[in-house]
Amino acid sequence: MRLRTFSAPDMNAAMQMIRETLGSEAIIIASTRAASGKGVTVTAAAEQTDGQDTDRLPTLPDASMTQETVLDKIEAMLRFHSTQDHVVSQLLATAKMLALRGSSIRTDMTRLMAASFQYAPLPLDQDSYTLMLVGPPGTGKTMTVAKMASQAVMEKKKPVVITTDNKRAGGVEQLSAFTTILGLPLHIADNRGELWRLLKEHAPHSRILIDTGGVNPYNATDVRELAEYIKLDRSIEPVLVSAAGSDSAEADDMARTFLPMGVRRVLITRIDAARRYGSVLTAAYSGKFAFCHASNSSRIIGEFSTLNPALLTELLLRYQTPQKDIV
Amino acid sequence: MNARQAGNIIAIASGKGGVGKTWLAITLAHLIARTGRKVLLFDGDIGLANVDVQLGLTPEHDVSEMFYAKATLKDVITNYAPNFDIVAGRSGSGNLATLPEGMLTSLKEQLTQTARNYDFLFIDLGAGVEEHVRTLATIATRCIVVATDEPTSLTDAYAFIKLCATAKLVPAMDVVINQSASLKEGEKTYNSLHKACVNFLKLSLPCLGVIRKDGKVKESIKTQTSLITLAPHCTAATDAATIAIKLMQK
Repeated sequence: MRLRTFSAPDMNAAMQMIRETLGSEAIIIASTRAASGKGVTVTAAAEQTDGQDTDRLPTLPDASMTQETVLDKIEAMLRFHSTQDHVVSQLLATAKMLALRGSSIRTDMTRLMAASFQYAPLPLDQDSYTLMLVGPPGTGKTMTVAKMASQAVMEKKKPVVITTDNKRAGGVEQLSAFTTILGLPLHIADNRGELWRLLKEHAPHSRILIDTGGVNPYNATDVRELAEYIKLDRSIEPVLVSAAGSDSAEADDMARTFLPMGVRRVLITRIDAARRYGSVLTAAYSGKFAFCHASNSSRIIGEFSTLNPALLTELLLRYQTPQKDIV
Repeated sequence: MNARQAGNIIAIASGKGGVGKTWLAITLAHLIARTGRKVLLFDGDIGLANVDVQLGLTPEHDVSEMFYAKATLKDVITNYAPNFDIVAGRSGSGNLATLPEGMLTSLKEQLTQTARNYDFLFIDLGAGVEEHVRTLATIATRCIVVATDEPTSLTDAYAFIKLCATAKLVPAMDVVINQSASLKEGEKTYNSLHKACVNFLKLSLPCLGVIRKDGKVKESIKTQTSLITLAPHCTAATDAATIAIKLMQK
């Protein structure tokens, strides 16, 4: 690879220089506006490639090519994502109401997603909050707590990390390894009394992150126990952690389990490890949850992307643009 | 569970020298060792050994005894801190390319064997992209490529990635941006490298993290102390901690 940095009065001039020096195959890998405000600095790279296509994701036929109307296109897409039937019909009804024009599927979907779901990022930049991460086993609650804690520590803020996950083998161990690395104490609350005491000790001027054990949505005892933890203090906000790519019928059941516990927001994990997001739509719809963030298992900068209609649309359209790394 | 089964044999590479490869290997190894996991750090830059120098050690044994005194890998392990063992190289002992015949194969076999006794094995590869540098990466389950925002570092990191990717040397590769002015600048640097890899190699390497420039790092190297001992809560240590967390995530 050849790498060259060019300074030019404007982008066109820079492009000209790049083509002349590195050839038409060169790509721009970075560009900045000059500090003075006049001109640009562009870094370009070029390489001889043999043009071979390495393993890309399977590309599906573009729905816009095969379907006639906007509604058909949208339905085809929702079906591809195996969204639950009742959610599909509701979204289509909303789409009809919005009288979408079909200028582009991206614009239409963004409008539909904006109209159909709520979006409310978590108050992670504020000085005090009490977030309890809840959900079925294995959705990434502990990792989410670890990521939120490390984000706070990187911003020179010391969060209070608590776990109630004392039943699962290694539940405490996994999180304590992370807090040890971050130089934070890990508080273990074995019962409601201890959680209450910890909350009184640290609230109301702290960022409190509470990890919980996975709840089997079909086990009444599990569900009741978690509900009692949540009810302990009004400052506790339970946030549902849901992994992308799960079965949408299961996601439906799960949402109905967590809704009565006072869950208002859902955080989606592992969005890079899935290409079908029907379960995500179904969970948010059935639980009337607002989307807060999405996390990607392989990224550490900008740990959590804020989920908004545009990002959600990009995810839904991603199967058509396999090379793109969205979040 | 051991390092081999768990996919925790981690090679650290950079192409260009002086970007903080050895420092990163030491820091990550030390952070993880502090959580109670057993960690071995192997100085793969055999002839220009740095690990012992950075840690201020005068190891009783070093890897050269394996080549010239019939020692086994187990014999040349030095303990540095609780759960944290190292195998030092020896400066001036020649590089992997000049080893006696059969020695390299034996070294790789013994490393893979020894990894069974540890939760993590870090291999600090030498600088350069030549075959003898890359050869140790073949036993790794993951390779971290370290780069800075200097153009030479980017092109060298790219060259290393390209050679490893075309030969499919390691199952997984990630990028760490070191000595960055800010997290945002680091992300930009990563994006540059990422764009080149995606466009030219059709390869998307995840960014494992960005480490910000921090005077404490220089201080720790000058005083020959691990940063985790000297300043466990400084900016660079915190940034490294988020990377260590990623590595331990399973």
